[in-house]
Amino acid sequence: MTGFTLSARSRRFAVVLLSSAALIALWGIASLFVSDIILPSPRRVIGEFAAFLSRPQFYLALQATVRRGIEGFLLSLLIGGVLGIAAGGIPAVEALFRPLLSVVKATPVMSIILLAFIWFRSGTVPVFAGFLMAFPVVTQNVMIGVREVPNQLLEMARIYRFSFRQRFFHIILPSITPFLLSGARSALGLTWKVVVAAEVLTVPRHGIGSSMQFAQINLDTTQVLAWTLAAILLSAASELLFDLLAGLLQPYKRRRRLHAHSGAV
Amino acid sequence: MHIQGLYKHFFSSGSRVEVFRDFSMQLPDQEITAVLGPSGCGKTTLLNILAGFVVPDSGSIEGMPGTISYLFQEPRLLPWRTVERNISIVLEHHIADAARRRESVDHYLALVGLQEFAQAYPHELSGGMRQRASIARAFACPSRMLLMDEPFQALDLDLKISLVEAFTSLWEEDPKTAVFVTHDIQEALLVADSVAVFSKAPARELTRIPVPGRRKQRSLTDSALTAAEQEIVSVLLGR
Repeated sequence: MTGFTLSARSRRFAVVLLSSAALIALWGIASLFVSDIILPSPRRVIGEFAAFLSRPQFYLALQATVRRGIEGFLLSLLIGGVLGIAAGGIPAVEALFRPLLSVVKATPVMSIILLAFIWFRSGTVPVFAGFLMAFPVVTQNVMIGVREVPNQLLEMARIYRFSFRQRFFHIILPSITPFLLSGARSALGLTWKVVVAAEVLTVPRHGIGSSMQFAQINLDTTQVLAWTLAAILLSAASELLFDLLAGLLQPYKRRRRLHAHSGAV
Repeated sequence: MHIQGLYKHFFSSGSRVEVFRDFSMQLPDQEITAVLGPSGCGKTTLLNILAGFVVPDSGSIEGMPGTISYLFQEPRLLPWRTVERNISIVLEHHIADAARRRESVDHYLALVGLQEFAQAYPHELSGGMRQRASIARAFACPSRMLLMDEPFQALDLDLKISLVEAFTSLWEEDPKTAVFVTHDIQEALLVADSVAVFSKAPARELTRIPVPGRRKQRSLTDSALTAAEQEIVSVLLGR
């Protein structure tokens, strides 16, 4: 018998670590049998990525992509949020926008990027495409959130004559916050992918996608993968940010220990 | 307060149900009127009409005050606000000064024994403590009428008795005209000034039984209360 036990959480973490290691090992083994153009080794890709960190070119690309992503994301948060609240509260608004949302959701990303390239400059295309792909996700989540606002609390608010402002800030906004957060989280994840794809197709001067495209033209697979790693890390960092934000915006969800007094029941 | 000539019907699975047909009822000022009756007799509909959630087909309610409080079956606290904030929100319309609002909140929290939990969130409290907080909210709000929909129901007996005691002392300090819907005869006898017994729908008030004895000194083993209980049971059973 082993003398120690692991908590469920650390056991899960250990499994994730092991499966990641297995994946990288598999990649490493596969790369032994083919040329670097087909599949470079993990060591080479990580080395290339480390080399990026000392090149100003990398930071220019990163900065450009992050700026486009954030612009597109904020647009989809704003427009998607307002639309979601309106559609969740007013059935006519939902009916009005339902066809638009369905069409946008069913349209291939590439069509949107190609069309946008006809309409806009190359640097604007990723922002526009990111926004267009991500805002329905926000709208959908916020709409469901608005419909899930507890009716019991709205009745209570009627009895105690809550003003519109009180109803919005103390009932509606807090109850849609978890939906808004999960919508925004998926929207941002989607935005990064769409922005990079749009950069690949439209090749603005700086950008992760543009750099990826140059590397691909030169058949520099190591660099393609190193830029991919950068995109993945960007996505992971934004997920982490949302975890932090969820805790900050919802302090009431934290489990606290109260020094319980037996007097009160 | 006087309810007169009240009509209300619903459609339930295709058939028309008359809840009130020319229904009248007297609610004495600053008294607690308990309402007992078979389920589906319109007790809750009466509360919903008084609260303004349901509009009657016709009828008049005289002397309805503008501000009311409501004790629901559930505490209905805002889960994302502290206990203190839950109460002070209700006071924002009535007390403009934040410091005086705070004083009032502290006062009522102390009366229900929750002063140490002012900064706790509802999920951190027990069910009984949450209902105490909602009682504090109902009394902190300067209303003249109180509607009660089985607020002591979901609790076990000793919790229920201590909650009823907390409620009674708050009510004695600030008596509001109250309608107390319940299906627990003993609860009605401990809390109310009089008990109205309703018939099946369309509801009529079959009888009104005054509850003897001073509220704070009542005991369920008292012979006067057991006599009243017998009477209510026989009316409810239609004997």
